[in-house]
Amino acid sequence: MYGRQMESQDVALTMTGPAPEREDSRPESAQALERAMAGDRAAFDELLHCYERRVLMTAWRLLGSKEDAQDAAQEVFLRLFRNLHRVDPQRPILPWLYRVTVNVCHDLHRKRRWDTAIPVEEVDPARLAVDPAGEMARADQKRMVAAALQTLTEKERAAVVLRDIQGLSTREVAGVLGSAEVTVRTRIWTARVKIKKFVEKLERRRS
Amino acid sequence: MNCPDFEGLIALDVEGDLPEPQGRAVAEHLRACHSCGQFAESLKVSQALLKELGQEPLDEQMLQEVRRRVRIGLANERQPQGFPAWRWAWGVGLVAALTFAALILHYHSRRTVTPVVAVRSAPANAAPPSAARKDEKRNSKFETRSTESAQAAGHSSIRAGEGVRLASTLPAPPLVHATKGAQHMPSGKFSSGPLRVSAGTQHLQPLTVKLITDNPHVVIYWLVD
Repeated sequence: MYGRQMESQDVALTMTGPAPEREDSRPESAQALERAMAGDRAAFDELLHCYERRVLMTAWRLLGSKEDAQDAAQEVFLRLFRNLHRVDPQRPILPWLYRVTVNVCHDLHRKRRWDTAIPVEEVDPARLAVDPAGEMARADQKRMVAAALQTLTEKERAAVVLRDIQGLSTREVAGVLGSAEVTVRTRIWTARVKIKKFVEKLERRRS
Repeated sequence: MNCPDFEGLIALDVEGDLPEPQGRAVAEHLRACHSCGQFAESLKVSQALLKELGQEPLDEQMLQEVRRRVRIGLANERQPQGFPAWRWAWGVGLVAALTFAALILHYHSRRTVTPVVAVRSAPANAAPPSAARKDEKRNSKFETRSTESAQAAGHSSIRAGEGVRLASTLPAPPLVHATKGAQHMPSGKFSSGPLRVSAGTQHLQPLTVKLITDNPHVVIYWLVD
């Protein structure tokens, strides 16, 4: 997917970009990581509890399916376990988890030979809305946006999911994806405009 | 810049992703352009929806299923150590292969031929083939041994008059035919037969030794320094 795609076994688990000041910077998370590195399975369970939501949500939005997201999340944590000995406990592990999640989702895409972008014409608005004739509820609108995500290319989707859904900064997204900031910015604005146009188009078709 | 050029900048500006100078330029354009203002407003709506996607609660069942699968996966995994086992296996295999190759090379270097060779035809004063045949009868006992030795060394079908390449590991010749005028016996290992040094070759001249086998077509010359 990316020029510098990382195989988790071959890349050190340190990030060159800035460290997001999020949940993984909590001292108990770092301690759990150190204990897990020492072979403590209970500590690894703590890490699992700490990061599972972020990993699962990212995978879900990247893949568009909960079942596939579960497969991806499982693989991400198994890769973390296999690579614990390479982790630098002084650095946050969340960027690495994001990167592995993106790569695992890409591998799943490739394995199942999915088309990366679904054309707008193939999306049926009737399937997205509970009440197509009436005023769209907020839930239906969100479903539309979720469907719009699947019309993006993989790179655009990864950039916009990390930036707008996971809330990373553009610089952090660039660090996770191993791309230049300018490139990531371009992907982000392209994705946002596509999503907006997709939603408008669906609304027009529904009305 | 016209409106289509602002599209991307507006899409970045709605989330504050533009640096200050560009952000100011976009804000000025939005104040002046009604359609771009509408574009920005609808972008804000879709962005709000997108952000809400990230706040949707995940089913606890879904999370439990992931935990269950990870624990099952962990049960089949060993705690990784500093260097993966498969890399150790590769390393050990490589060392074993190199050692084996070194042993083979060493063995062959001890067995293979040192290229000492007499690649020359018989000297002018060497015994003619007829004389060789006479000696052949007289030394029949040695001839048999010579043939066996030659065959053992793989040189039994060498033609007379051809250049002959002998391995240094060949046993000392049991039968040596020398021409007339032999001066001295240069070394004890050739004591099994008469030996002659060519006339006028006291120093630094090679000694030519003729080895006769029971095959009349095979005459072996040895050049001894």
